[in-house]
Amino acid sequence: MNLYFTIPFLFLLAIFQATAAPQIRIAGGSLSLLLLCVMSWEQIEARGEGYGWAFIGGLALDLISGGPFGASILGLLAATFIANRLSSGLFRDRLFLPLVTAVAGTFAYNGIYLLLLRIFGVPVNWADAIGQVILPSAVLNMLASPIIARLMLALYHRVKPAGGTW
Amino acid sequence: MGRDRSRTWLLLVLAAVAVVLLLLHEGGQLQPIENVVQAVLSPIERAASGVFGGVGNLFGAVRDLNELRTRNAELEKQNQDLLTEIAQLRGLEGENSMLRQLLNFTQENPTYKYQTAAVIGRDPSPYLRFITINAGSREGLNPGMPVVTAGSTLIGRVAEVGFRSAKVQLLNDLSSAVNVRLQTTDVTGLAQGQQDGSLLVQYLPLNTQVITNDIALTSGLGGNLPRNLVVGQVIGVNKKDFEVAQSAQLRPAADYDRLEVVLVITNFEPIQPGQDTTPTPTPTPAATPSVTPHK
Repeated sequence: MNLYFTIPFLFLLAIFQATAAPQIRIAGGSLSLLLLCVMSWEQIEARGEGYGWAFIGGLALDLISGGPFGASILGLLAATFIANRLSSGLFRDRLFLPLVTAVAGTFAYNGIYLLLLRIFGVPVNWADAIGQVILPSAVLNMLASPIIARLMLALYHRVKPAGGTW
Repeated sequence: MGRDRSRTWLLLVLAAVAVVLLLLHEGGQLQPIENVVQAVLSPIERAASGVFGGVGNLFGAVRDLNELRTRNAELEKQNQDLLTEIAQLRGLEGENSMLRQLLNFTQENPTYKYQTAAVIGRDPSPYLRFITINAGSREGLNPGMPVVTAGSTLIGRVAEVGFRSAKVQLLNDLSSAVNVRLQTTDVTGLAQGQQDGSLLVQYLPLNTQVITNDIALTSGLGGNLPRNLVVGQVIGVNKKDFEVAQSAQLRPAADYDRLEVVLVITNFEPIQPGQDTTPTPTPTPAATPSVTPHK
């Protein structure tokens, strides 16, 4: 993992998520660009590097956020684990893999995040959170996932010209 | 097989580190490191906020078209009502100026010291409603300070302070709760943030008539916030005879998604638990609000 590339790239994505993404919220959901990039990287690279990305990306989000520190890291690690499992499982298909990963990853990330918010005393209403945030976000992430996956593959070939077989 | 095992170990180690960070943050031990990183990030966030502001305006324009039509009709009606009210208020003005001399008006309407700050970021989590502003401990900010916008509208409180930036918890955050008073009926309740971005005033007495369009102001109860800052307007009432209290939905007085510049009241001293004093802001001798521009 090239930290000189990874750290600035993921911090810039986190800043994008804190500045642009909240302004283009559709039906309560917003595009989780960092989540999609981290999961795509894990599926392309397929050697566990995505966990490092999840950690650094989550750290960046937690530094910007007012939520419990570490919640985004744990959420992203869970989503990356799911991305890793799915890429070696039933859905290893170029078209469906990003779609299924985006939906499953959105639920995993948000599930862990909400659970930690609950533990730290934030009065989370699960039904509202699912209906007003997770489902719209899952749909948005699903729609964007093929594009993000393509972009991440192109980035991978540029950063690591020898590999990348997704 | 060996690679799979090492990946699992990596996952577990990183998760354990995250849990340790979570606990250290709660204990406040990470604050110095967070301050340093935020000092580096806040100028980038500010620049990005400027760049991406246009994106939000573009989406906002499309989204708000229908809302604007409805709002326009509402405003036209309100305009008529306000013209009538102005005529009535002019009559009351003379009476009011006399009464004002009799009352200790500074307690009700003190002169505050303000620190202006630009909004440079929003919380990336859709469950949390915090904004990041470009003023911090360098400008004299402290946690708990009230944050307002135009028209004495309260938008939230300072939650965390870094050296050059601070996080403000907005009123519609899920864990935000503010004591409010409804202007017309003078009943008090607790305004709490909802997932959809609105506010819900709970614990309003069942035997009082809650009026739609009534204005909710901070009550000053608890001593954490100054009195009479505007919080929102009643848009709906939930009253069930079998419940012990009623609740009212509020439309926040400010559009939290469009905030660009805010004012932090820096001379309000919240009452700490155990202190037995009246919750009064510290007035400054100046006749007009003093605004310290942010450098």
